[in-house]
Amino acid sequence: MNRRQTLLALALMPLMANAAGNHGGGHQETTGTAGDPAQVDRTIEVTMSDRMRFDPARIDVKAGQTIRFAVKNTGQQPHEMVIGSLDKLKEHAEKMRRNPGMKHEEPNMLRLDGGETGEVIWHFASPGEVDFACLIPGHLEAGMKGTIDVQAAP
Amino acid sequence: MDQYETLTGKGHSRRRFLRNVTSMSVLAALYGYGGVSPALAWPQVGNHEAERLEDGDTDIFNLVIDRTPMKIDGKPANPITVNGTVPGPAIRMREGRNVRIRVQNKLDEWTSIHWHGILLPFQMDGVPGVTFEGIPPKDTFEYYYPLKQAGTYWYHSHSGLQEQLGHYGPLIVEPAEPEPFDYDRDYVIMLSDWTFEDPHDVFRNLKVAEGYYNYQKRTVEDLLEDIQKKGWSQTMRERAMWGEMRMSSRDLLDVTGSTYTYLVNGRSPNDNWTGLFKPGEKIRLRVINGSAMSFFDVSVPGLKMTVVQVDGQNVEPVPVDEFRIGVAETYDVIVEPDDQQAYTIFAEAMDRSGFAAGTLATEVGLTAEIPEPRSIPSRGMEAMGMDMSNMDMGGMDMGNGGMEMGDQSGGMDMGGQSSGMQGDQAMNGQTSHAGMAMNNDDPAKGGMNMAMDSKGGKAPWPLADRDISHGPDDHGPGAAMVARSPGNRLNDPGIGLKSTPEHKVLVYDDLKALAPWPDPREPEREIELHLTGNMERYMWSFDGEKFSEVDGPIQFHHGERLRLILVNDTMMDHPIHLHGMWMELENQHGDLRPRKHTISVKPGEMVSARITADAPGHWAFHCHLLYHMKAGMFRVVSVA
Repeated sequence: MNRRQTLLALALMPLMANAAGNHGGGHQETTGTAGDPAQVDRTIEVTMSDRMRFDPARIDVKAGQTIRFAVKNTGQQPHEMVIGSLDKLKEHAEKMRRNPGMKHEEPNMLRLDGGETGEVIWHFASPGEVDFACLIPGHLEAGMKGTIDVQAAP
Repeated sequence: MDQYETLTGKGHSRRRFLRNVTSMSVLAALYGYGGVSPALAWPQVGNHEAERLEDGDTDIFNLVIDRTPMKIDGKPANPITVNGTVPGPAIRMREGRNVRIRVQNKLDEWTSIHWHGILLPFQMDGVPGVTFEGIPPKDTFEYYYPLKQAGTYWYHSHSGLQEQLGHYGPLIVEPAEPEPFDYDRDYVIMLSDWTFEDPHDVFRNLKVAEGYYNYQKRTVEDLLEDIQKKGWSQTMRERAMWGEMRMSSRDLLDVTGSTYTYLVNGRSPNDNWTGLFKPGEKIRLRVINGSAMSFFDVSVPGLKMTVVQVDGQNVEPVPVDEFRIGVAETYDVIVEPDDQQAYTIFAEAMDRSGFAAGTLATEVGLTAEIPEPRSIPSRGMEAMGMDMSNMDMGGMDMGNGGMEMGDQSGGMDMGGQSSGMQGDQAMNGQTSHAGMAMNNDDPAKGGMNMAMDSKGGKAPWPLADRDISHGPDDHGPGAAMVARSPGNRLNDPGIGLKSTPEHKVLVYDDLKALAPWPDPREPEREIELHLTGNMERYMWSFDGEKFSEVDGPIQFHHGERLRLILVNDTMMDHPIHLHGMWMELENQHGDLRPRKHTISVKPGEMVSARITADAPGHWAFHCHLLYHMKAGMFRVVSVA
């Protein structure tokens, strides 16, 4: 590689990193993508409560599966289920804390008022750990988070 | 055997010495001392807990009240101790069980223990002269009651000025159900103020010389600077106003760091109390203000704190950078340090005259930086409803709680400056009979009520249209002034604090219960009480009457639903504590009112709380500033 090529590669690196780490669609490679409702492999029921917990808080899925999360908020406060990597989730929670009343809506998330039900359909492409959390200020800090273990397909 | 002789090890081998220490610990454990050397307050690392014995459905604790010579901040002191330490040991009770607490009084004077924030039969509440006689010298008393709540509370003497002498400690009730938050370990952070003076001398000093401990009065240089900034006439007007109010603009706390050593778990900043953690752990800090007279501003620089409980009650978690804790309040916060660094737990006295500090670290001996002291806040005229700043100081500083001198003449036209008491509501029904001309010709500048409504407050404030039901002269000499247009300051973090997106400071309006409380009724009756005082004569009272001048108790009818309205007519913050029943603070969250045992009321503030009068008996109701209570800011509430 001559000097010119090296510089070019260095110049491109931040762009590539940025593309991979972007919010929403950017980190799909590890956490997955929005799922197709017609292609759901399995439904998993999840409850969110004012105890600031998800039940279950630990979920096993297989790489390649599309999961319908049937979510119920059994509490009186609003709650969210947002799928992503914990670092990104924390970053996003901080943004929400600084901008009270900020609304966000993405395919990887669901916000429910007390007593409501809803669903998130998510496709898990590759093996690894994916996190989910409630990003309403204070809820993640209180422990409202869970982990999805994406196992390699047999 | 003289333990000091043993400890000096005269003629003893080290082995012998160690064995003696061990047997002393065993002996101490038998008496419930928990094995802590009486030469120290609490251990430097971690918390000190009382031994819990079990008998069926009852947990048993043994407490001994005594004088114990020890060093505080390296200097000899002779505090009143519980089981040999200051604070006393943390007592861990359990929700759903009964407790039997045997208290042995080894003092030469009467004593008592009040279980602050615990709902119990009034005979067990521990207030001499109100709920029982007290515990005579060299005698014992047995408390017995069921625990029907959980959370962080504390206990303290309710006799004389014993609290100032060290007679207090943490009380934790472990919940029957899982709590709505996770943590890996918890530490009590008990804040207090210690003086090497006799508390009776402190009280006498306050009585004879107003501002005795206040070395922060504005100086001649301040005067010259003021004149330069504000001009001669405005400066003189402000000073005349302060003089008339018998207040100094720097009297934020009336006992200060000039006599106080501020403590974390009985340790001064030099003695550095330390809580250990492993990186990545969630740590619950149970912050209790066990001070006699000091409000603190608490932060852990470098860490966000998530407030999860207030006064032992769950709230929707609020991430903050700092919170102010009034005397007797408790705040439980969760912090999550994820590196090897040490962090300072910093509690700066509200008047900036000193601080308490401890450390969170991965190993003993590590310390973090102590923040630079902040400048001394001065209660500006805005605290009286007079905004002197051409409106550029942000909503927070403009308390719309108007203050007015009872007797005031002339020279108070604030010409050109707009009044801080904006808003139609604030002026409603008020006649401008004092000398201050409250020109309200610029409604665009807005008042706090309006600002709050637009900020997304959901529930209307119940006191928005309220007329204060008395004229300024109703309270007699016990009240040097009255609030003219007390207002809603639930969104104001308090003097000297400012909340920004980069540095969020908790306010009462952030507190939201997780579920409505059991009694959904609207209040059937309202009781309005004014917090009144005459600083110069150190008179403190409710409605201008000291406890000694009051005819009888405040009557609550058993079973009724009440709205208690507190109006602060003074220039100081007062933490108001009701024994035996919760106060549901009416803030912007409608039915999700936070429940409190102690409500701090800021100068010029009016607050309200709902109470279900479901606890028959006699209960104390008072300002939790110890010397204010002693001076007469105390009432008995009778529920029958």
